Amino acid sequence: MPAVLGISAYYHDAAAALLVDGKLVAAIQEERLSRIKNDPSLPVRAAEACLRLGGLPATALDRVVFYEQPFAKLERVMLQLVRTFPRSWRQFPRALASQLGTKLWVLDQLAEALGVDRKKVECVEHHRSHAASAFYTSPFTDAAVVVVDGVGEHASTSLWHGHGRTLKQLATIDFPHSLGLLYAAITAYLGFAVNEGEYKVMGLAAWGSPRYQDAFAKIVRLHNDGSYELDLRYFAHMTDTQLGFGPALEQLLGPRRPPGLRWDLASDRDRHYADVAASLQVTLERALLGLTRRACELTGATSLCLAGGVALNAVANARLLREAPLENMYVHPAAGDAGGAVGAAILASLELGTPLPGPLQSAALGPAIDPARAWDLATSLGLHPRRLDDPATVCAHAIANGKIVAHARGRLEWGPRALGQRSLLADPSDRATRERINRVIKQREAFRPFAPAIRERDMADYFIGSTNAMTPFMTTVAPIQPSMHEQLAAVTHEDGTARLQTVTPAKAPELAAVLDALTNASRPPVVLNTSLNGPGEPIVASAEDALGFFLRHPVDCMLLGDIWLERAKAP
Amino acid sequence: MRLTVWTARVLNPIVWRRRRGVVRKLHQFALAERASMVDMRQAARLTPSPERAAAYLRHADDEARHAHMFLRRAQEVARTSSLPAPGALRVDTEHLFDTLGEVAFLAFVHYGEARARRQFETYQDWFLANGRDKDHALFDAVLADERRHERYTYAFLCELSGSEAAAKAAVRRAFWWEAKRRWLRSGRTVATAIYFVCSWLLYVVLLVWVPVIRLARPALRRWQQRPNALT
Repeated sequence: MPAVLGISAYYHDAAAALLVDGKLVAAIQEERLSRIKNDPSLPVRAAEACLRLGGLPATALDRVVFYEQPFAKLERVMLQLVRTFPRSWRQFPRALASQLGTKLWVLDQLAEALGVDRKKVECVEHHRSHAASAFYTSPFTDAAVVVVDGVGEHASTSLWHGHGRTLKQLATIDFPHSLGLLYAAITAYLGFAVNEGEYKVMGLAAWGSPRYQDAFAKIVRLHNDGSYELDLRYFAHMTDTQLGFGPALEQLLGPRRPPGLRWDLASDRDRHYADVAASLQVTLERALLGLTRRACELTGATSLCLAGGVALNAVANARLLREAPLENMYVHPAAGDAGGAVGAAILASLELGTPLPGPLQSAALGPAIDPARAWDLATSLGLHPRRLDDPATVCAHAIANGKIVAHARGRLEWGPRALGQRSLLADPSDRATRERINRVIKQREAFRPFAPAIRERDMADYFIGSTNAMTPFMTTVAPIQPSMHEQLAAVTHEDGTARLQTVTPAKAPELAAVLDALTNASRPPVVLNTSLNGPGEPIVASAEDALGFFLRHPVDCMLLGDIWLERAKAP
Repeated sequence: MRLTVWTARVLNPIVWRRRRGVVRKLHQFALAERASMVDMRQAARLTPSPERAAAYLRHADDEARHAHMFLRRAQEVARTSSLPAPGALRVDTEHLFDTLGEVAFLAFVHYGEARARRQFETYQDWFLANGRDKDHALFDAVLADERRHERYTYAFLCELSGSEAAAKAAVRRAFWWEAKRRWLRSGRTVATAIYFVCSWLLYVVLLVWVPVIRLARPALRRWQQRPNALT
């Protein structure tokens, strides 16, 4: 039974994934264990946790595979520094130190940290890892695969054809032209942190009107053959990895928004920035449509697998499925760099002759809560824990009564979305609950939406459209039936859509049980579902993280495995 | 008088006088408290004792609250002085529990809390003398927790190390460990400066390659066909 460990690290979102005999048995992001948001460091904790879940020692691994090629990456970085001489003078020492000091030796570091033979450690191409993570975990046997991210070794966009066990690269667009870096530049322009604030830009876009499309047509030129080209005068990502845009962009779109200011979408100033976000969203969607049409032309496929950080744009994904010549579409739940660990592991596993991994059944691939530890710790904290025989019913009852429930049950989710295993659940109809979660618990911008989770079989009653390969993993949006806007007021975004999750017992059994219990109580089978984490923190993983969250944030109740905690009422 | 107290007293008028300095200092404290929160939560996860894990979680909760308070005050000062708002709290941590083990970790935390308490007390005196009521109230609230942290970590340290003498020895080791770490950090600062100068010299040497690279390996545009590779 060949065992392969995939690793992604050293950019952002480090992760490890374990395949045994072709089956994905564990996948964990390092941030969940180190508790440092977007932790890029070598994911030794995640790797060890994967091995524990697989019941294997590191010596039993047949391969350890890194998700990109360090020497190819060094070549691109050096070429770029020389090409942009002398503007790259500030970047040069840092880039050199980062590449030569750490990244180049990653395969040796992995062998040493995990205690495996160096000969077993190898690497694969960055975009191939992404493409593999999407295609081989999709429900398709033949599909066009599009990878769109910031940059890998050289490529920032690539088209592939996946068929059976084969994955064939067709064409690429190379750095410095990059849709991921376009999105990052505008994220920074809007005053958000790059690699963290991209979801905010997507949420903000719904509040604006795309009236700067002409300006964006200057920034990024879209060609008839599906390719695109950035006008590099507006960008600085070749010489400044922090900001990503240059003074010309501010001349075109107006001054950047200073970070940290409170958002007021009733003001002219912030409406302007919402319009910029909306224009970016429309431009991105048009670019992705061009790429998808090209990929479909080249492959003749009617199914699409999308990967790379840009694939997490759920609004764009919905438009692709609606307007491109597609029958179905799939986005891996960890479409960003973390997902590269899964792809790298699958590629090496297939080389060893294992069967295909098959469609991803569930994103619950991390460690579970230790119930004994949770009980002891909750007792030591004086939280008066209670064991429940029917946790789902008690949880549903609390939600129906307007309580906000921290729900930590089952194995930790893989990817940036909370899919019911580490979620905050609440009544989807109550706008006041939404305000409370946004302001008091998550402390985030009021314009950001919350997502609904709904039983798969009930989707058509509440949403326009039907389930597809993306809905179980919350990587697309759907319009809410106009008659249901009131019932789903807390999860209806400004544009009338929601980034929904369809739930089945196979994919998220604990959440499915809560939705069933809500139905039994004559309530709609829908909950507001948002990630269980505080501001600037990774999603909760362990009992300790969950209880730390409960101490810090004013949720009403917490379900920790089958342990129930209720916040004491103030006297 | 300890060196920490003496240095803080000398520097107080300089550090706290300029609004920009105040924002920077408060933001640094917020970052330090946030990093400490991460360390304490990791400790809670790793200690075998539920009682100590509970205490570490309470401690982490205090640190999170302090970080929030420092950041809010930094933002308030920045806003009223028309200065740029301080950035979000992005933390880094050295995973001290993993590195040191529980006894040395506790000794280090106890030592750090005691040092912070002494430093904050000098700030309080200065704020009181200069009529800075808001800042005084902020540090007053934080100090109450710092004193409690100092006490409980010492109690656990005595329990884990077996005796008060052993606990004191552990705190002394933490002092020397921290001193060595500071020494290495200062060495790293010097080495970084030298590295930057050397790498910029190397950068200038690269000048000869610029025309060659621009000619032979220009940045590519639009679609590139790659050799077909199958798996």
